[in-house]
Amino acid sequence: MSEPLLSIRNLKKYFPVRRFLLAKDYVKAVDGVSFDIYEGEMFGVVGESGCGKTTLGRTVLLLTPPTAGEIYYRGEDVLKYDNKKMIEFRRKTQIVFQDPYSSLDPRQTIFDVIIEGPRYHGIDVGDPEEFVISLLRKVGLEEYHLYRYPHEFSGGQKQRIAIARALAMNPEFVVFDEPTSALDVSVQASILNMIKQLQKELGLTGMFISHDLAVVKFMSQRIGVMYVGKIVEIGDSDELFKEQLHPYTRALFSSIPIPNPQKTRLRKKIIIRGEPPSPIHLPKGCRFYPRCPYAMPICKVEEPDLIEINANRHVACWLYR
Amino acid sequence: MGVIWIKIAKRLDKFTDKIIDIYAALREFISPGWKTKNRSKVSELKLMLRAFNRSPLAWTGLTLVLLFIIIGIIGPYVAPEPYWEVYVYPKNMPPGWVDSNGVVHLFGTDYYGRDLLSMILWGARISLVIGLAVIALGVPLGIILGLVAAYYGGKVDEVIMRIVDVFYSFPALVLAIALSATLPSRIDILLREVPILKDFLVLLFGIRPEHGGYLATTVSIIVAMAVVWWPVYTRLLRAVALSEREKVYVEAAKALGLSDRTIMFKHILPNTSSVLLVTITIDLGSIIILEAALSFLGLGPQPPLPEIGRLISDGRAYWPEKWWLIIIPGAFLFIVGLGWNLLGDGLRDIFDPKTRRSIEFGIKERPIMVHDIIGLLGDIAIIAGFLTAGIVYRDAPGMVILFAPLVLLYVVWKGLNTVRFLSRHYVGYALGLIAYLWLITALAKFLPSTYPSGLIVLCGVVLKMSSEEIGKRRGVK
Amino acid sequence: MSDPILKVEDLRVYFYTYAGVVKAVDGVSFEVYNKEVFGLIGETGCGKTVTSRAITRLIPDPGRIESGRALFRINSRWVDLLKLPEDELRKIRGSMITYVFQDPTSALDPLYTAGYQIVETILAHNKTHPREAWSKAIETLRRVLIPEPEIRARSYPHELSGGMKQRVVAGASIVNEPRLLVADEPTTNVDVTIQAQMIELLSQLKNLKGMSIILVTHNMGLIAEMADRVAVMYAGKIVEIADVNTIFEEPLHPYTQGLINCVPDPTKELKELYPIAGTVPDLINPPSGCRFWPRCSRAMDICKREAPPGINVSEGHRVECWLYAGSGL
Repeated sequence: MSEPLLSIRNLKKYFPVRRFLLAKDYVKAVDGVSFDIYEGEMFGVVGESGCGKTTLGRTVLLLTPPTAGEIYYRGEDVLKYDNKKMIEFRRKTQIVFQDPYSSLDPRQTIFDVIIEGPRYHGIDVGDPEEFVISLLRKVGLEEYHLYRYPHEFSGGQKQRIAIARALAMNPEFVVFDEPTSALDVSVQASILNMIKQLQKELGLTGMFISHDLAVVKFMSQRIGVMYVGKIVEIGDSDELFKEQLHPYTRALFSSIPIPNPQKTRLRKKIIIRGEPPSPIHLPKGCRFYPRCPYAMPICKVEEPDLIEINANRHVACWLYR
Repeated sequence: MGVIWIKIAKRLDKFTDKIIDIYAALREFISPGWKTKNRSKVSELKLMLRAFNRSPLAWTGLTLVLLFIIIGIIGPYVAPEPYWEVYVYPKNMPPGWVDSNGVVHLFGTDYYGRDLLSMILWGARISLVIGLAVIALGVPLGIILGLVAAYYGGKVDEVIMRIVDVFYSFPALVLAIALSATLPSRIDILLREVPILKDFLVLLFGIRPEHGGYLATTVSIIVAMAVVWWPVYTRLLRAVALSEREKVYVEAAKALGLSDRTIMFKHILPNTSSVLLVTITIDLGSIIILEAALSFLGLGPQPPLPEIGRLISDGRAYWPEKWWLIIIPGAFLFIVGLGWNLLGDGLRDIFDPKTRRSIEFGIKERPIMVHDIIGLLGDIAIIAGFLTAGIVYRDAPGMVILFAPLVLLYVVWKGLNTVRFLSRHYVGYALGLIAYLWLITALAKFLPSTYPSGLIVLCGVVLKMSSEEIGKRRGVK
Repeated sequence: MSDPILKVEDLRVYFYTYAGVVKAVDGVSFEVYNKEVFGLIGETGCGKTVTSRAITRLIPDPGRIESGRALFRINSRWVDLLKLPEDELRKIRGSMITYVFQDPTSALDPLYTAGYQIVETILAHNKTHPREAWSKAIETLRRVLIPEPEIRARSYPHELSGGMKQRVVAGASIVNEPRLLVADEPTTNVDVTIQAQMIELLSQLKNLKGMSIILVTHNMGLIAEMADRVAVMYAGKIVEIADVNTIFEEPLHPYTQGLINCVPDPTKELKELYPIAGTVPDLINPPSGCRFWPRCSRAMDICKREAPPGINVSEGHRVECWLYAGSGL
């Protein structure tokens, strides 16, 4: 926990939507997000669908250019990289997508899928076939899978292939964008175990995006909670589960179903009314105040910044100012 | 028909499997290890062909297309008579005409007193080459522009698509006419300057070297049609590539740091290939017909080069007394166009995983029953009825009068059949039959010869209906 | 509780494909009691959705209901839904048995307003004046917690958010006061906070209207939260059926045990998850004997040869597993 590997400062990503002829509105998918990811840790990002967590993952890796903000990788400003440095950055950072069914080119064999990146970047891998087979073994697949096509695999196996593709580049930083949300629970468990083990083995730094709190808790050491384009609370994973500060985090954590009938029926639930605001027309002030049971006058006027409660806990809420 | 075709399809499966096996063995021979690397591909190909085998229409298309291609290739060599010797026989003789030497001319003779069968054999080569040449010229340009437009989007897309719009908003036929009227002189100069190109084209079209001078107009309509045709492919490819671009694997390729060119040509293009292949197949039929239409208007290959459209145009003045001058080349064109279209539809079905699944799933095997045979006999009788009508009564306007009511009758019968109440009480069938009989009898007053053929069709319909009834009773769909 | 309204006996649904016969549901029996939430849980392709739809014969081609009975009680008379003529079944669908499907967007016709679609459901099964039906529709929308129902009733589906649409669908399915509501993954596409609202809503409706719910889902948390009794499905068969506490506290079937162990519990400290080895079997050529044996750590010889019978280990607890062969009631 020394220097951050990746620092995000006030990152914004807006998508234009055309209204009339020339007038444009913006979907504020990511709207001023700052956080650090330290070497060797898994940083969890949790939030509901449409909160911008997927866009955040892609913008951090520059798969879409950010609208504003800064991204520092090992202290260097990624947005100022020249072409050569950019290619190097692409090699060192990888992503595993949510949908294993469309993230593999249906016309490539598994061998081609995995070897394409290293081959393109001229990475020396020794005997390519042996290299791919060793990767396949690492993700729990077999040698005879080498020359098969994606459609011959189940969802879980496809996700393993996608992970092998990312690992083939020997990355330092990997974004896992809901890697198991399209899979069945019994398959999910083995994939999560595998990612966790690989992370330890290879010393990977990662960002784990999910809507499933239990999964994020299992996977990551620190968690950022996102609500409509903004991180409202960052904290140590275990501490966050013990006590939530932001009213949204509190409601979110209290409404996840727990796979235990007695616990889940007895606990006190905070059910917040209404739905998240549209990321096009955000309310002035705090974006949670229309649903917030503790809303104060200031919440309607001014947007709270992330403030430090202690070294491990940041929260964006006027209650703690 | 369905159940009987399945029995045939099972045989075809074995045949197509064998073809793939032979292909695989060949590849294995060239590069050892191919088989193990491509085992999935081989089994996928076999499955696709099996799906193709489920469709009798697709096979009809394939047969017609193969026939056309074979005729196109060997036509000039097997044509009994040369195209360049004109006025050998009296012109416009009917099919089956016997000349003074006792030689039977199956299709009769054309306007220039040549054997019509030979002219069609020569003409097939010209049609085939023109069709392929237009595709070869127009498609690559269309593909590249479409890919670029879809991948980069924004201003690049705007510019390319507005150019495409300009080409679209201009009537294609007019543009082709204008081009093929202005181009020949320039192409003539080009051909004279580059004799090797001329020799190559002479070889390609299978014509006499001394007729190389006639090539200018032929090449000019190829160019004209390619110019008209490429925007179709730009639009098509843009549409397909746009949806492919949104798929996650493209983003995954970007995350690997691959260049735009690699992503476009190695990832997006291969995934559009099935749509492309289907469209090219269907378009080949359209191009051949458009080419005939241009020739009909006097553009394109000039006499004495034999050209199907030109043959039709020459026969115009003699319609309807000498119907064969138009019907025979017309039927040839029709069959070629139909073949490409049926084949294209068949290919579309096997490439599209969704329809492929429905082909695979929609077939239930069961033993052939009596009513299947009765139904098949019905089909045969209906076709035979129409054919005899066509053969017995050749007068062209009469043919139109004959066919139109038959089609009408079929529609009436189907219509009544679908009214649930009526068909349940057999009233629908009865009414349909009475209407049918009445119309045939009425028709026979004007054209007595349609009477027997009408009755044959009627028998066929009765057979079909009874087979359906028996099937229903036995609880078979 | 011991008052069943639906008895499904030996239901078999096969899909006839070119590749072979897919035995999607193969001998499923269960009962649904009055005013209970009956959970049907299993992984993708285990046949839970097909089972829930087969009850009213909503099986798409090339599927066919091979055998079985689905006895539904109407005014203390039992009718077999699988044998009923189509037009009589249609009267039951949408009035006595209704469905809430996973995807609310495709369940609503984009061309009609939310209110109209509920009115349509009312008029299809009742002879009421359209104006009365309209006010009933608004009443229903209010009941499913839609704010400003008078305005929302005149909105088109695209003007409503996902959670709102799901509530309109729920409204349409309860407006005729069904005896049985089949909820097929009702919260899969909605967010956790909206899911909490839906759970609250469904339990309120159940108590208010006294209807039974068949809850089809793969989400263990949702089952723990809502269900009274649970049937665990695996590869076209119900492997275990018991009340919800028994399923979670003392699961007997190795598959049920595996399923419960592999779901991460956010309230516990976990070092590792316990996945179930292997993959779901191909239903065209299912394994011989018990369908779970290739993945089962406690498989015995007999498991490979013979399919286990249903064993009633205690009152209301049935398990299909050879491990408990001697311990039946």
